[in-house]
Amino acid sequence: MSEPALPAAAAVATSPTLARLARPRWSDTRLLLGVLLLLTSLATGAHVMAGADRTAPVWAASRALAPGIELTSADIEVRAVRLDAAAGNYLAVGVDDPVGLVLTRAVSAGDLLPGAAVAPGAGLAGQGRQVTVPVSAFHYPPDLSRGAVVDVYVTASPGSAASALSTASPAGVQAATAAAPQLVIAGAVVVEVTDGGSGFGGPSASVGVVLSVSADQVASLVGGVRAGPVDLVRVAQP
Amino acid sequence: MDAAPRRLAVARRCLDLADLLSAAEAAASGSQPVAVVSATLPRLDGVAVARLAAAGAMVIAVVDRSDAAAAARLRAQGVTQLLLVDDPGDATGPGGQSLLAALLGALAGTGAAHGGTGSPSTVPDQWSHGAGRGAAAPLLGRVVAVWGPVGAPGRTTVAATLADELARRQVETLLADADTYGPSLGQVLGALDEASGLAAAARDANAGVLDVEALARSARLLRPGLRVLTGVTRADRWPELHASALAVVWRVARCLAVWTVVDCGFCLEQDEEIAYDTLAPRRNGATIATLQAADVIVAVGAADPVGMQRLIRMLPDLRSAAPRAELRVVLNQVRSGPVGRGPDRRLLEGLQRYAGVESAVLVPADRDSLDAAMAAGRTLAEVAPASSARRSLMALAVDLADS
Repeated sequence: MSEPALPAAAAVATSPTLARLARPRWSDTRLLLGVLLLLTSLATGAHVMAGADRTAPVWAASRALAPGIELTSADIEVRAVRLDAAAGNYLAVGVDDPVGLVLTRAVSAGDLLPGAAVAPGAGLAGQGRQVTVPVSAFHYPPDLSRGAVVDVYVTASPGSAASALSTASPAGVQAATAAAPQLVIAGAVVVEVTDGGSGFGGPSASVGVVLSVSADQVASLVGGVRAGPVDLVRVAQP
Repeated sequence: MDAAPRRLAVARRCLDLADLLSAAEAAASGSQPVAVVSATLPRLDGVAVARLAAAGAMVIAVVDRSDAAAAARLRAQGVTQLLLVDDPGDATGPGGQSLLAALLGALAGTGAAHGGTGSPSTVPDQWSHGAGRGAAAPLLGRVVAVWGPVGAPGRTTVAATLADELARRQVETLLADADTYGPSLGQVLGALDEASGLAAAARDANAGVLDVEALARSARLLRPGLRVLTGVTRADRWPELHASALAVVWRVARCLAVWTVVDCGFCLEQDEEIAYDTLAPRRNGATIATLQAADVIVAVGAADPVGMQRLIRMLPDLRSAAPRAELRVVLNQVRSGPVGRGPDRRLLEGLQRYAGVESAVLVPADRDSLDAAMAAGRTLAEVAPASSARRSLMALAVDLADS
């Protein structure tokens, strides 16, 4: 028997569709919307935070530096700080270049470089000179580094021209047998501490210390260094 | 009254429907109660008319001639005797005289056609063949009732798979759940809406307003060509599926779908007469009404010794409840474990010897596919079309459609 044809009423009688259990899928709209929401909020948050950033990069000292030292690129680093009204007091990255300028006052490690602390041209291009002083082991502070301030004492060895120096000192009577240490330079700024390239130095080796002095101090420093062993005495920074 | 051919006495002027029902049921034996009701009697529905008929009372309704909707509704509710009068409120004037004359004429015309008490266990003839709404169209569809004994043999699985396979042959199919003990069709199909479609259709049938459109609105579309009437959500809602209302639903369903597959309950007992003095609501009325309305009954049994014993014991009761239907036996979960080697031969031999059933459809136990179907809330064809269980039921569907 072939299938009978239903009356027309059955064809137009509509039933609502049955809502059936659906297996959860990875391509679920809600999951995709949730991930999209997450990414959008992340992007929006990052954008808002970046837009609210009012900091500006300025130059800062990367180590303790004494006045008189000529700044190199190893001495300075970039810091992002929020200055608002005080922004004009400091050296901004991209606007000012402190390399080659000379410090006029001492700065500690991490200090921002004020514009008033540097001055142009008092380094080698100006009146400053750099003299290398040989110092034997244990006659200099072990952690001596660039930017420190030292006093140079020389102990004249007997029979040398140091006797001429010793007559100038108050204790000149004892100069013939044992010469007293003489202060040659006070407050010289260390530019560099070098071990001569041996590579196996360390705190107990002889080093050469490059000091930055003014032109008129050079003669007395060199002569004094030639006179006898050198002792470097660290001066505490104010 | 004196002019009447037989003795007529006004037994009672009833106050309301409850009074009428109790009076009809308490009528003295040997007399034919006649209930004359107004079309506007409150709470008069299909169930009340069925109860009056079951008590053996003849129901005559007085309807205003101009109220066609009321007349149609009453006919749909099972009232066959309608008196159309001009003014039903006029009792004493000339209208009342004509009413009385018409009443006597109706009584004389029908004679003793409705004498005696109808057996409460069968749906009265005036229901199943009466001029209800929707019966004007030829009854083309066929009803398949899927029944099985107690013990979860797989009635719902077989009913859902069978309806799915019939719908896949491009014919309109309706799947319904008339189980009043453990309805599970909605859950097996993964339905998220728990509202009972069959209870809604029964309500409409009770009110006399069930037609093809109303039945389609109560059903839900699984896919084009397959509709579902979900069953009651809890077993204690069984009174909503009254036998008389369901009989109307299946009649209208024949106009909506070519195949109506109904998942029935397991119990066929009709011992309410033993348990109660008065006419009690029938717990298995839905199942019995469905089986009596069915053209084909698919009896599902579990293919193990206990399931076979239950099926074989209940088959005679099934045949007595529905003697005219064509019987198809399906054995579900066929496997060698509980039966022994060669389960097919053993099961068929047992059926032949003990039940006189010559052939049966054997559905193999395909646990994995059935579990996958239940987990997903889908039919076998949707989840595992290559399943052996699905193929056996597809063969049954083809056999039914071609028969």
